[in-house]
Amino acid sequence: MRIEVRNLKKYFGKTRAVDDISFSFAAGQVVGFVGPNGAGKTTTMRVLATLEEPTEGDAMLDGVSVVEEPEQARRLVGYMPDSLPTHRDMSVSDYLDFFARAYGIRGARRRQVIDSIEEFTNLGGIREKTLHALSKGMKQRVSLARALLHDPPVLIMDEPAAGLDPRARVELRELVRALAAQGKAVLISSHILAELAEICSGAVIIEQGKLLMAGTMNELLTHSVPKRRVLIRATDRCDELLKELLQMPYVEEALQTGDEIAADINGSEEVCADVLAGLIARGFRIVEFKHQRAGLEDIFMRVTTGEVQ
Amino acid sequence: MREGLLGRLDDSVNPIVVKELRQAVQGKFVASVLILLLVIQLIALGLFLISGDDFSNRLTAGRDAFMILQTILLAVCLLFVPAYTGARLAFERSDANVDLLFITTIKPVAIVGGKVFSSLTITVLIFSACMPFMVFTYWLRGIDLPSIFVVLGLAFLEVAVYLHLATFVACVPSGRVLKILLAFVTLIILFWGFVGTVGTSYSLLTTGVGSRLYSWTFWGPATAVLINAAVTIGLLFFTSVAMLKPVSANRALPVRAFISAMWLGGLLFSAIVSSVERDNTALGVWGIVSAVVFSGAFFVAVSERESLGLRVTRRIPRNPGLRAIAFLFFSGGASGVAWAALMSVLTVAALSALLMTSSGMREVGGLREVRVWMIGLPLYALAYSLSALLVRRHLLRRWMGPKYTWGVGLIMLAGGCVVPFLIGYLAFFGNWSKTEEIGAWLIFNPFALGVESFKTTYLTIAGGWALIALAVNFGWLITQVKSFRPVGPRPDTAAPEIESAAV
Repeated sequence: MRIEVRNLKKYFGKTRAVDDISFSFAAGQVVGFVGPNGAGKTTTMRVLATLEEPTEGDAMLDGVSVVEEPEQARRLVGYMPDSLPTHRDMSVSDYLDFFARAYGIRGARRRQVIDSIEEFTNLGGIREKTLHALSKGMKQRVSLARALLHDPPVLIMDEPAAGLDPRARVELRELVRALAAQGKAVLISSHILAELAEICSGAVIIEQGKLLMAGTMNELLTHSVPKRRVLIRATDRCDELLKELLQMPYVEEALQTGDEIAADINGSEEVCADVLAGLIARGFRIVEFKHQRAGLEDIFMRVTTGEVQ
Repeated sequence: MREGLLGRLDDSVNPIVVKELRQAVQGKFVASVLILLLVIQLIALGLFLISGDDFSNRLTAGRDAFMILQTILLAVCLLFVPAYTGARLAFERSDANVDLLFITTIKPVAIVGGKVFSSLTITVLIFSACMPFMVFTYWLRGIDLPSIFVVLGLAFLEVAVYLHLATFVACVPSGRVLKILLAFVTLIILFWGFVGTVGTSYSLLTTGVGSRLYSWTFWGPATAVLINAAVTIGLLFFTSVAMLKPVSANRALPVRAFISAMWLGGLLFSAIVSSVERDNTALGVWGIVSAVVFSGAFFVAVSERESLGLRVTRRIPRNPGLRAIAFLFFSGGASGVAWAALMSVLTVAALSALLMTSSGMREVGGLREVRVWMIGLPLYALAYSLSALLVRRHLLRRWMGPKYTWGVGLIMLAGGCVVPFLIGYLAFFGNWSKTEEIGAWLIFNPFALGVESFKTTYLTIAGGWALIALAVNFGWLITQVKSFRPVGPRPDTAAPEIESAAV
């Protein structure tokens, strides 16, 4: 299963909500879809879910075009919007039963599927409650359950963690991990980047409808944060160590905070190893030499400008 | 065994029907309306009974009471039920909040069918609740049971037609402003239908149905009404389904195929009726209805997509003969114009051929007037729609896509009907003269084709204008004709990959 977004464009009048975006990912991956408000994330996701037609370009789900064959694409994709649409006078059970019927799940299998999804998303205790009586977290669970009813290989989740309490967020994260482990391809957007970084194997960053970066987390780090920050702790001679570091090639900056020195090294992991070897050769007794990884937040802040259309 | 049978039955029910009826049963709205209706009926009947003098002297008491109850029933079923159905569907289809139902694998035909069926079920519920009160009027004299059931049947048929109309309007892909405008126009049509049905009901009850139940004087018009209602429902249903299909689908095919089949069936039926009855009215009605439908088809056609996607083009036949036929029925602006033009020509040709070959029909005559409308209406429609296409393509290109060309056409049509007349009124004739005297100011008005002394002028102007419009849009037509050919597989372009091991 491959998900390919090809030169996607979506204009609303003069506003270019999505402007020539291309990226692709495969089954088993969780890809974060990141961008400031109004960047075009929801629009792109709605195109992938066949809710919107692109102005130009296409998206392929395992070779099935969402533009040309939306009916086929709908079998492959589960879409979880940022909020559960309201349905009057419907219980959770009726809601899931309706969508299971709409997806053509018939007979005893329908009950089995609904039961297993309710168990997976922990909805068993609220199945008779009406939708409008549910909390935000419960609504998100119902929304996820609905998106999973037809067992789609691709899952599109638009801001699933928005408005959730810490426990619900942790549970959602575990659900997403479990889905990826089942081999589903997950595209997930969120503003809570620290949490996104924990579950994503890659990320797509967009702003003002344009693609800024796309790749695995390592690739993004390498491209957007070329310097490596290492944290160094020695048993003694910290002041000398700081001076020595500042004289070494590739070390751009070094700062001492307490007994720890943070050094920015412009180079690969081999260069870091050379720096460590050099320090030891000069007689410094190093007890800690740790690579401080930049997070998705760092990357996001570096590549985006914060401008809106 | 029983569970298996019930399970299969349960599976066969349309999911939309299950959802809509569950919501109707569990919600308070429909139940409240039903109870309110019954209370109103009860109060109305009670007031009628206590306000009456001596019922033994009132021979029309039953009919009067029935008409009061029928008016209340029609107000609910012809105004409330279609408006409720249409508004709900329109809300679910709104651009900002498309219901997730539309991204399931359920087919558009099931969506439209389910919506209409569940609304009809609610209508049946309302009719069933009201029927005891209405049948009670039989004992008040002045009305017979066949009349009660025929009038109720006619009302139900009207509700079915208006439900399809409301569904059709709800399915029209348009922005909020246009949707509100369309809803307003639909409400006027619903109100018009309500008034018309009340009038027809009263007329039927006054003349009485029971005595004519076994004669052709009843079944002739009844058959015509049933056929017209069935064709209208079919047309609205297929068009609604087509509008719910993805833009990439061959949306036009089922609609054009249905209309073509109905056109042919209508021709055969009306020819037989005209021949047997020795009266050309049926043929005349067929001709006028065909002209109106194909005139409307021109406005729809110029609003269709101008370039076909892979999904449609890969189904284009390779055989040139089959491709020519497919061109007429496949989606596309030029295809639509060609189909509507061909069908308009065939309508006139079929009528002329029938009159030439059948001496009986020729003797009866009376179709000269009809032929003027059959020729004039499509010519004006072609001229207006192609002029709108020209305006949209060259003047409004930046602001408007093809799908709103019909709106430009209708505005031009309204302008063509009103502006020359107003200029003439203000500058020249200055009072409401006879149409025969001011006919020259109505040359852009297709509804003035009945003005006897200007018929030839109007037809000449409509024909000339249509030819010029066709000539200036010739490039648009030819480009689409040339591009109507099967294509190879999609070119493969690579997108940047996000590669990594699973989480």
